[in-house]
Amino acid sequence: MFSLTLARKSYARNLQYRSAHLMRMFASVIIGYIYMAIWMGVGEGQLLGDYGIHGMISYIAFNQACLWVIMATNWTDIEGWVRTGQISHELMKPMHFFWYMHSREWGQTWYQFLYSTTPILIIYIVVLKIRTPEHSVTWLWTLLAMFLAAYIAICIAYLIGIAAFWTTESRWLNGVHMGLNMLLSGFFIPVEWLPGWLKMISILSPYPCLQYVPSRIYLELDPAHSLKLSLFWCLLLTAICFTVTRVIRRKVEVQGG
Amino acid sequence: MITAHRLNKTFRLPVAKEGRFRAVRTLLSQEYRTVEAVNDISFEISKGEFVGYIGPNGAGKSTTIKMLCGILHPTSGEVIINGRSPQNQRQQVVRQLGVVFGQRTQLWWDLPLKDSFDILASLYKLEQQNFKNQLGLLSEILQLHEFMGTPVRKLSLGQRMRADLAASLLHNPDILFLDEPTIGLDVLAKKQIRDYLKQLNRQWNKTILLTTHDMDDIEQLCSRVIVINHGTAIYDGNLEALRERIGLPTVMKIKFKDTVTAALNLFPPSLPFRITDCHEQLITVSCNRRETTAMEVLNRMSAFGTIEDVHLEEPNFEEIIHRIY
Amino acid sequence: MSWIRIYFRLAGASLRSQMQYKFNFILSTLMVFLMFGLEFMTVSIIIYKFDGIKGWSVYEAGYLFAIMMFVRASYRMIAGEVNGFEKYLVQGMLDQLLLRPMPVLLVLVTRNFRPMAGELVLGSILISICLSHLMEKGQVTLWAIPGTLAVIISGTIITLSIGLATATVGFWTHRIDELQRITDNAATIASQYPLSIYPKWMRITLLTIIPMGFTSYMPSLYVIRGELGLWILPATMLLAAILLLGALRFWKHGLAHYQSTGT
Repeated sequence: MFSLTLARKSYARNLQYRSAHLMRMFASVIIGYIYMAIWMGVGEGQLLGDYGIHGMISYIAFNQACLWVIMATNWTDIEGWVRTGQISHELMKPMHFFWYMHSREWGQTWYQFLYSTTPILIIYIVVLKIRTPEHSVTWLWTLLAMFLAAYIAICIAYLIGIAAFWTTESRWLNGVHMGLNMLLSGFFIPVEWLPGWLKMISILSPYPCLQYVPSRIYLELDPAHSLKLSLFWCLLLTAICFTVTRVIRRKVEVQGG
Repeated sequence: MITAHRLNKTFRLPVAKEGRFRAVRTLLSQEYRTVEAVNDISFEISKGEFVGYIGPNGAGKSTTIKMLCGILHPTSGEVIINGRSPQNQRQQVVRQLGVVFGQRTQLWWDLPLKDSFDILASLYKLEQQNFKNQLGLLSEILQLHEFMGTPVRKLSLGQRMRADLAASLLHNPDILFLDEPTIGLDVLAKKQIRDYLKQLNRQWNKTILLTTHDMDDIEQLCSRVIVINHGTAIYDGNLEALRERIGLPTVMKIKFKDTVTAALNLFPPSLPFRITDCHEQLITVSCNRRETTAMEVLNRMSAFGTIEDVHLEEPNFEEIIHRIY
Repeated sequence: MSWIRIYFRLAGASLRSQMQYKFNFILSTLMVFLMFGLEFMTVSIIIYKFDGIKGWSVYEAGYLFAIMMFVRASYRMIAGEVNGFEKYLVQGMLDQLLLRPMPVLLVLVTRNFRPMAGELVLGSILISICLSHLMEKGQVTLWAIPGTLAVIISGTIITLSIGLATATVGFWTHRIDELQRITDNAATIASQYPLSIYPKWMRITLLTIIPMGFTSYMPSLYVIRGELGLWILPATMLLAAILLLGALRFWKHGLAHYQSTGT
């Protein structure tokens, strides 16, 4: 229940800045549109694999909308606490630190899902007539895929924040994460079109689960059981996060905060 | 030297909307409410004056100072400093001003203090020799030697304030505007800063305008006080007159060597002061300084026994402001 | 001349401040380098795979992209804080700058000075690769080099003017980060590609309301494809000058509306 309260609080905090939010959403719609225009440009007179021009536009549109639920920002808080030393205080909260950060972030994610992802997707569906699933059960699988993607993103952001224990700043690490996400997650290029070695790296990383997997499921190009990969990464990252939390707990205890 | 003529400053602040679809409605039509931060303020300050500009939080002190040095443009009215308007000829006017905002520093946070002075010298295009002399003088008076090579972020608040003061004086301005220069300092540092300011005013003949919350600053430094509340000036004159005008009682706490009792009953009621409390060795007296002096009170009180200690409480600033309004 | 000396003096001070945190300085420089690199890689993979974009060959498209990267980097280097101007308005940080006996803009642009070395180097390498390929094919001559320099100069001025005008809007609205996302981020991304890939309304917007299309696309049409004619270079330069003067006037006007941090 404490989790839910935390999530609700961070959700409510976000509601305050609506006009700024509308502008940001508008910018996001336009930037997504630019990416689609690039594909329309290169796709002229080409087949574009099993997507086709229309499918490729839908692919980019879905990714641009979905991007908002995988932009976890909990690393900034952790980084700040590490620098000010407040972290030892936060670690003492009557809840495991990992779940504590997760709960806070879910409020944010839920907010972005409702007020960014959903409206952006609707705008693209209405204005650009992008593809929507034919079978209604696909919507369910898509939601599940997005949920797992958000979970993975929160874990990665958590690890980025924790890195501040060794590097004092996490900002640059997050920048690298964003760059890798653009290249490896299939956000802009479907993973199968990456050149050999990049494709290899991508497949071995959790990045495809953030965008490629949900998008392919949404477009009904992959069956639901491809979510097994996402599930695997969720479990693995959770285990890593717990291990790392134990390490920093010990570190803080030794140093006395 | 400094003239403020019928200054007004109105701020337009957006009103947050309530209810459904407020984001969309805000985008379409933003409503504003206006706040009159400064309302028809006029004064003239001549060379060599030390003026205290006081008033409660949000009264418009900072807004006035910001208009005087050209940061803000008045909604109406005008400021003239040495014959120029800081709004129209900002660059020329700020050359003659030294400004310190107590809550902010103008120094380069991560660099050694000396570097800040070097940079400022080139900003103000000071001649090398002039700069050397001025910095030498300032660092002697403000005792900056010990931390000249320390990065500004590592200075204590008192040291930083001295450094900031030096930075604002480097180009040898005639006029100093100080916004809360003693805020957050400990007693000793406050005293130091006050001594420097006194010296600047008396020996170097700088014109100083100072805002503060600390009544001691005013009492020890200022020859003139302007009181502002809700954006309007409600008093302009010297401190004694201000205190007299209000007639607030001074409270004296007198401690005796032995226990004094029944003083209240013994005392003839015709005296120009009142005993408000009598408890073992301690007698509290309330007197109006217009009618009597502290010395006279002590003379009278010595009749009760040997006086060991006296504590004088002047009416405090908040009370004065409260009374005057 | 003395303004230029002061600019370097202040920029140097800002650089030295950042050097106090060497580790962070180096890492963040590397990070930006990596981010730009990854972004370029992503785009070039697509264009390479599908052999050009709407009649623009890989190297032509790469040239546009590299010009934009260079322009963006030099804009951020010359006037990085214009892009982050909101904090000066919201936190009243502009107060101190207004107390200096020199143009506010001059003090502002030296704050947080970043040399942007990574992007400038990366941009130069990309431009040279693209130009040398185009020269091999005989599509351009050595004249493309001064042409490219002109494009970069006018492009930087145009980007700077648009950035400055957007920042100035903040004197009235206080919040500008979101607006900058559109005029700065989105428009810059759009200008990395040939305008011909966009629908008409967007092309018109990028040539009028937010004239970012003139930073790379329009003059490049002449420099590497020989279209339009030589006149487009001086015309672009003229436009850049007009935009800059306009933005500076607007800025001056905006300064009088600065509200500081209320009371």
